[in-house]
Amino acid sequence: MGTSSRGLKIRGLGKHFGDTTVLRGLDLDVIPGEFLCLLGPSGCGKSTLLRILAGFEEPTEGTIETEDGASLIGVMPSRRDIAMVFQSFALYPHMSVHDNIAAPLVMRQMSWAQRQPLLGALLPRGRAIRGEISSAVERVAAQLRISHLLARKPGQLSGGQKQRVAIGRALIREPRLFLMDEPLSSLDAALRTEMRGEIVDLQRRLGITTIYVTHDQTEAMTMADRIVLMMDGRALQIGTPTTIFHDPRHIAVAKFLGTPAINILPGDVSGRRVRCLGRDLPVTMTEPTDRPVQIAVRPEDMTIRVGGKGSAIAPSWMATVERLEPIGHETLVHARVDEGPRVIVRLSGPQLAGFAMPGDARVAIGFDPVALKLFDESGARLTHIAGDRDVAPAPHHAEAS
Amino acid sequence: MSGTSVLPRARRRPAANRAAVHGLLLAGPAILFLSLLMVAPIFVVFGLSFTDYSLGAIQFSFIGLGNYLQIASDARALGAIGHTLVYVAIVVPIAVLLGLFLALMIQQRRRLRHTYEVLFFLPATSTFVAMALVWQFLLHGRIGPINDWLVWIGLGRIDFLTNPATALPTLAVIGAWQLVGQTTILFLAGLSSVSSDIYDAAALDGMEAGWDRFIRITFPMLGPTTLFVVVTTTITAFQAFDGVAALTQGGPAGSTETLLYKIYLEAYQYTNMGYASALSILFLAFIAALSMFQIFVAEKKVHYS
Repeated sequence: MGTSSRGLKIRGLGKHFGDTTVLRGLDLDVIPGEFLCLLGPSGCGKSTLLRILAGFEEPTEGTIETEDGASLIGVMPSRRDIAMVFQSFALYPHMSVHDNIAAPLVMRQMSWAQRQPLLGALLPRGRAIRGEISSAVERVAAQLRISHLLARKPGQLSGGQKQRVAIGRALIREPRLFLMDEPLSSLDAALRTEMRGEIVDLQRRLGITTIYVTHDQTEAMTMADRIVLMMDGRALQIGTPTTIFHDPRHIAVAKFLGTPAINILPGDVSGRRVRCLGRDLPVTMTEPTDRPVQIAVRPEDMTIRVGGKGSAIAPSWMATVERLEPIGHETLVHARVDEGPRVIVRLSGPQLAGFAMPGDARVAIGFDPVALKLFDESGARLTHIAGDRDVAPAPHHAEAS
Repeated sequence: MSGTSVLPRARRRPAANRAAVHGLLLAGPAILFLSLLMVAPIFVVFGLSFTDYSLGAIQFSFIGLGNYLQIASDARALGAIGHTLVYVAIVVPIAVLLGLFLALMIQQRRRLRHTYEVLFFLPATSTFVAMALVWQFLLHGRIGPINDWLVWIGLGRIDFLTNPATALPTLAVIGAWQLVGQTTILFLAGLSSVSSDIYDAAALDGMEAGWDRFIRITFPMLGPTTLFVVVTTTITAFQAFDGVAALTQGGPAGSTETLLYKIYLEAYQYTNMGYASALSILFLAFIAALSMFQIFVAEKKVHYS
């Protein structure tokens, strides 16, 4: 199956609806066989991109080519060798599960006359083809464990069962590209986790290129080979879940991923030195510059010290704890840094064990300099060398080797 | 019904009683007026149908099934039933199929959709008797523009409303024209309830447009709407009266006497209230049968949830 999977080359794709621009010059290469997640907030253009790939919408500008260079622009949806699973499942309510799954094959393998309701049964080959289609339906149903539901109507199925039928209808076409538009968002939480695993297993087993639209970062992080983080009609960053999470190229990417959201502290760069709220940070810029910066630190990389207990790597800032959110295995500490912003610190494991709230709720907040990320005012990532403790404390010779 | 039901009832008596009193107080006026204006007259008519009561008569006597037996031997009454069935058989297919066709055409228009909706719905909002006068002029054998046009394209004149062969079909076509706007609007409502995801899925499965999409997706999804439209249109067509009264008065030669018009004639022209009541009960039975069909038989087959 892997060899027949589709790759795509998308260049300068734009889509406007009247005055509103939904996609702006999007470039994207889809690798054959990969599980690609389009992740972003609602209105970022991810669903529109999927609809353009399916052929429901035509792009205003740009090109989409397959791995062998054929353009997909203007090709009818049914001729694109794709299958799609919709958020609403979009099952045909008047057809049985069997007929729902069979629908694509009926349309593709039977002639116009053969598939007409009464006429078809009278024609030669009509019955034979119907038999072949039925055995294909039964194979797919067995694979998805819905064989016992074939006679039912979609209205008699649970959400999870409908989901499987929708996947069955997509699989039976043996598509070269699988499109999924938030297929899990109408299921309850427990079922969502289960189906997440099943869809990934299925995709690994069949090796069909899959483009999966979601606004749920957990889905994207756990399912995808690669994530396209979309915002405002653009692909902000394309990469593996690990890269996107740990090495965001834009502050919007850093802010979108991670719950609770990444902490942003104000800072200044002069030369190669970085200062944050009156303290020098033990980091060195790779390029000397002079400008305000945004310092981003994830809650789990923050440290907290109460009356000498706990650990805080220097430098640290005094802060007032405003609220605690215990979530069992971890506790979120909401604190306001003196003359600074509000931050969230995630405490877990040994940190949590050693942490006790003092009466006056005064703490010292710090963070691991290895983990911080620097962005300029426009949000673009700035590079630095972290953890150089010999250079940073001495303020006036910031030239590091 | 047995002793088991007594205990729980006894236990929750005070609260249940208060709720029942409140309920009765709220529903009371509606029950009273519905009984006085709808249910009681039906019973009165049912009772009268077994009498020889004549409008204005001081006394009358029970004659058993006499009126019903008279219907069976009254050629004009049987004729009226026949005319009504023919009328229904012409009106319903035209109003339903044309309404469906127009709805499918209008739905795909974006800018002009509302204009078309208003245009086609206009006949349903206008006073029919006024419209009937316009039709009478248009269809007139000598001065009617439609006949001028028929002559111009080489066909002869047709005395639409004065020829016994064409009068009933002509009335039926006018009746259908009056109903098409309503069926179109109902089908448009039905069409807008089909989610666009279904059409997208159908497009992927190879049903992009045209006949396949219509016969496999659109028409089955319109099942509940179609049933409702067919039944309501049939009931409305069964009540054919205003066209007859305004344009032909049952003529020529009784060829357009419908059941309702016959009832009107018997009751208010010939003052045979007893006989008219029997015809009314027959009419009521037709309507009731249609409603029962909708409620008990067809609803189960066209709803998918």
